[in-house]
Amino acid sequence: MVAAALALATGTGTFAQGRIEFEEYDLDNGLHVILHQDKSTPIVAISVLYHVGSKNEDPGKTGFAHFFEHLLFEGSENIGRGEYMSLVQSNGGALNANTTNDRTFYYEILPSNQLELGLWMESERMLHAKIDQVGVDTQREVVKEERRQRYENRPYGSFLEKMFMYSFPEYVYEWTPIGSMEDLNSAKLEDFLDFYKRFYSPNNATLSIAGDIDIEKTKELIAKYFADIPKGPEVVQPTMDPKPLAAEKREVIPDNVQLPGLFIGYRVPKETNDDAYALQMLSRVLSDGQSSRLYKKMVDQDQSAVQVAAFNYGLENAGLFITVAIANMGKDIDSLEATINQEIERIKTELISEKEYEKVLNSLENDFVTSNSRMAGIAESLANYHVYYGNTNLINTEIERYRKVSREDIQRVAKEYLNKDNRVVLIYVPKEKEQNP
Amino acid sequence: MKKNIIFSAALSIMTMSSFAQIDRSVQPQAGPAREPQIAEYESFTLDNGLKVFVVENHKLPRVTFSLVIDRDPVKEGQKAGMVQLAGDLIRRGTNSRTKDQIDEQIDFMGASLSTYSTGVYASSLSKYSEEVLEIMADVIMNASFPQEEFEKLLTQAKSGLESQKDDPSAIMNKVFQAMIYGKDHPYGEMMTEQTLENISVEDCKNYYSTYFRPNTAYLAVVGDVKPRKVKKLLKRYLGDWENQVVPEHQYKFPVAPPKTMVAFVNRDASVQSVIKIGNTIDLEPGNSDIEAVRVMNQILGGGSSGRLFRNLREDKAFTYGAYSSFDSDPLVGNFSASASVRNDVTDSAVTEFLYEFNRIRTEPVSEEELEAAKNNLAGSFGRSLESPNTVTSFAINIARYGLPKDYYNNYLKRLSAVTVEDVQRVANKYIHAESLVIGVVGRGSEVAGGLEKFGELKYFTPEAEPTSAPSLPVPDGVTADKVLSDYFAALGGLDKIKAVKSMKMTAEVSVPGMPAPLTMKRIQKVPGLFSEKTLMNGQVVQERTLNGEKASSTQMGQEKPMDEEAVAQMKKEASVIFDEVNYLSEDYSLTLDHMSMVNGNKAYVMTVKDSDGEEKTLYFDEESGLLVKSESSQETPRGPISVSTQYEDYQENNGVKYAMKMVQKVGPQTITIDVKELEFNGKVSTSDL
Repeated sequence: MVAAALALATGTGTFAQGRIEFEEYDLDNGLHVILHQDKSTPIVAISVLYHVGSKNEDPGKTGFAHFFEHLLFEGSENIGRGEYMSLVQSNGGALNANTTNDRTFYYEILPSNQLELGLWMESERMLHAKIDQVGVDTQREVVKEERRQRYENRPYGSFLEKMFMYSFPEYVYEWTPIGSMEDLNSAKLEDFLDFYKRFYSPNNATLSIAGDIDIEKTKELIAKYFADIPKGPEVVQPTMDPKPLAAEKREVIPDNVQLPGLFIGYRVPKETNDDAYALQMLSRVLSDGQSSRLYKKMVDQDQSAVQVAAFNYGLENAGLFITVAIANMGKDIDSLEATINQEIERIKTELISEKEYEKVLNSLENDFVTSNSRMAGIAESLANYHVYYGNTNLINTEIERYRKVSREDIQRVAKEYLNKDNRVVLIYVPKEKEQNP
Repeated sequence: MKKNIIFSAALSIMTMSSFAQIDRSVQPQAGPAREPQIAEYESFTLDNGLKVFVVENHKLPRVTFSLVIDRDPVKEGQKAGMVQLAGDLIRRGTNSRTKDQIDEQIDFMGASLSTYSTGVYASSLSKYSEEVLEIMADVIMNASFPQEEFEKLLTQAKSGLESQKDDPSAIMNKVFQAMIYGKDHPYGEMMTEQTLENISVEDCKNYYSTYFRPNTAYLAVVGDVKPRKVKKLLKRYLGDWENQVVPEHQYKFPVAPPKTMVAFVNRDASVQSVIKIGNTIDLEPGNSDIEAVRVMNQILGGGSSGRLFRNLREDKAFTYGAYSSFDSDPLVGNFSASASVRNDVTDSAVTEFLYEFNRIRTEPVSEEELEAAKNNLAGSFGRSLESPNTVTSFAINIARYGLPKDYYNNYLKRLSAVTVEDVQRVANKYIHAESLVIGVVGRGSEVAGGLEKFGELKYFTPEAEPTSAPSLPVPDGVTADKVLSDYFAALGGLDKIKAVKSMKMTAEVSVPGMPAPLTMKRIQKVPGLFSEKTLMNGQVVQERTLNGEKASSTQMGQEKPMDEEAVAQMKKEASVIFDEVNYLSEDYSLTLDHMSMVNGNKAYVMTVKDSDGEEKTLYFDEESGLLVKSESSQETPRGPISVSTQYEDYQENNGVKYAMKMVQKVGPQTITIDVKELEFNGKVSTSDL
């Protein structure tokens, strides 16, 4: 019944300390389980990753996955409405959830003697969550407030939404997890019930636990609470590739901002692709630390920008390489764009120095070590590596994938992806102020 | 063999049936608890007075160094922002390293180094700990404050201020601080473009050499280190850091508003109101009330099971989240509660906040709520110990605030001793329900009106300067014609106004800078007779006269030629006594698109455009119907200049009201006109001119 697959020690031994030992297996109903023991603090992080995000939504029903995440705090057959959160907190725990384009992630961090409580609650959520009209009506308004607070009432708040809309036309990444006001308004109870049946099954979930646990005891408890949850229908993930962008898309957006902002997104491969690693390193050459190229040039030397960033936004099916620059007072967007273009051209024409290459690897190594400092982070990383990469042990070995990237690779990916006809350019400019008489 | 198979089959049946038997309706019981342990630390003091705390933790191959400067808050006055700039500048060059070199070295190791006004923080993999410590010590002891870096930071700070102007949360936080602490308190001071202009690099240097001293500093070293080695390294790199007496400062406790007030900052683009309500509190670290306040706050708004969250989000769906928090501080702390809510529920949300404040002050919390809050806090204490840095922050607090050595070890004990009575007592003591500041950043025209019921409504700029009210929408059904006819009715009725055919008026005109007031005499009989004389000390200094078609103008006794336009203008003035009557004709177009506040009262704002395209803005008081203000633009040789006139002290004369006092603002100048004598429909003849 239990197929225990002990992870092989394939790490290079670079880190004597900090190696994350784990065990993983599947229940008969398809639930994937990952367990990591660490007894240094009497806490345990319990997480469930459902492989459903905004990319699984139907157009016209955007925002569903995230809206649904809110509904799953409403209670279950055995947990009263409004009690889900207080049950965790009144037992000394913390909890939350978040939804991306690709997945929905729930977690509790509890005192380790409350492990069973957390398992019971997550199994209740998976087996028979309470999804009713009261919850839908309440959370609809709450989610709309979330949308206002995080996107509409905030300077440059619409940038990600626009970036995805233009970068992925007619594709499942065309919209972002928050969804549109219109779709939020028209979301119906029966659609949510259907959504629950389609995606919230053990065979579409990963239960990842890290902390002060006894492995054997934990396995028993998992069997007790999860083994009898029936398998759901097979979930078919959208796997086709998005169509390439044919030409540059450019938009000037008057917004409630004081400083102009420039957001450029290039279409790049999905996060598991080798090139995504090269792009990740390239983004660090450009903007990681104050000695990075864009920071030094734009913030320090010509002072054209107050803030500059480059990052590789890797998703399951595709990615975006995004640069962001916020103009310094009195500086215009044209010069910012020219500088960013120049620096990208420079990457294409000359190899980055060996010293820069080493610097990027050192900074990756530092982040790699730091990222495993908390139980909640470890539980989440383990689940991500399993779901997206099919290789949970990347938590110990991912740095090797970076080490395989050469300076030539970094140059090559810049040439291949960071091109004009493969990008979206969003320019935020201050709106003309309405004069009050 | 066979036996075994049967046995295992039986076992699996047993296991199966044990699944079937779980009673899901029963919440699992907790296992035996493991008390969270506060890790051991070592501490020592260097000869120069630097107090050091070391936590050895080899779980990850990394180390963090954090230096905290313990000084009294510094009042910056006209140089607000200086301390912050100084903190940022510390990392931007030393006597032996340029900023570029520091960046390059730190980044190459994948390390981080940041400085701020009361400290320095560095972290790295443990294999680089000595190199990082060396650079950290260099900036602590030898920062060089290059002018060029100062200029850069200044520009960035200005841009930062600029970008905050559109960030409602940033605005709220700054204005709230200014409101509760006062702008003359170190905690309420506000950096502005003006204060930035007053700062020099010398000020920053001075701050650094005064306050960055080992004798008032604490250094925490945490991670993959050996305490003995750390001691050796610190002696080597920070042993020469010179100590010096550091000045101390004292401040008066800020005065709370006498009554609850609403501080409103207008932001027309807002689709949500950012609300923050609270007051200062007198609660220093180590105070015996702290655990009770913590529990009280947890119940009220400490998280997603707090009353505020449950009420404003889960019940009313006004917001994505509503919380409360408090801050203990040796000087002055604060309590506050906040949420972002959609525009149309702004006042309802404030009502719910105040309801919950009142409830926790007047009703005992339930035992269940008390226990839940305590468990919640105990759990969060346990989770905080996951980070080895927590231990050193405890150690530093103990040293800094003179707390007992076992202060944190006894935290859970003190927490569990908090009673229902304690919660109610501290709610009353620390939530000042009668003198709250209710801060709101939002679309004033839509939401401000509903807030007057909570206290005096005052408007502020994002820099916390008092300002006037933003425009308000006109209620349905009110038109320009209606406002105009209400105005005529308020004056005494259109018939009576039209019946006024002549006027004699004497007024005193005070002009700032003039040694004595001027006297203005105006005589008018419609149509065609008009005279206006301005006298200084009884001497006519200016005169305008119209007698039928004949117009003349003199200044200091000298005839002043009049062009056609000036003559036409005077004829127009002479043709009517209450010129608003003309607005009824088709020559004028009237628009009424919003309301505004004039002297704290709502007024209709009417734009009047004549056939020549000249515009005037008139403000009619919503309640009295009277004209309270007018605005127009006048051409001058130096370009257009705006003229605004406020009308006050309406008095009746022959059944028609007239404003006996007018305050006119012409550019920067304020002119006051006091009407001393007024006669309607008296006898006026050409001989009076």
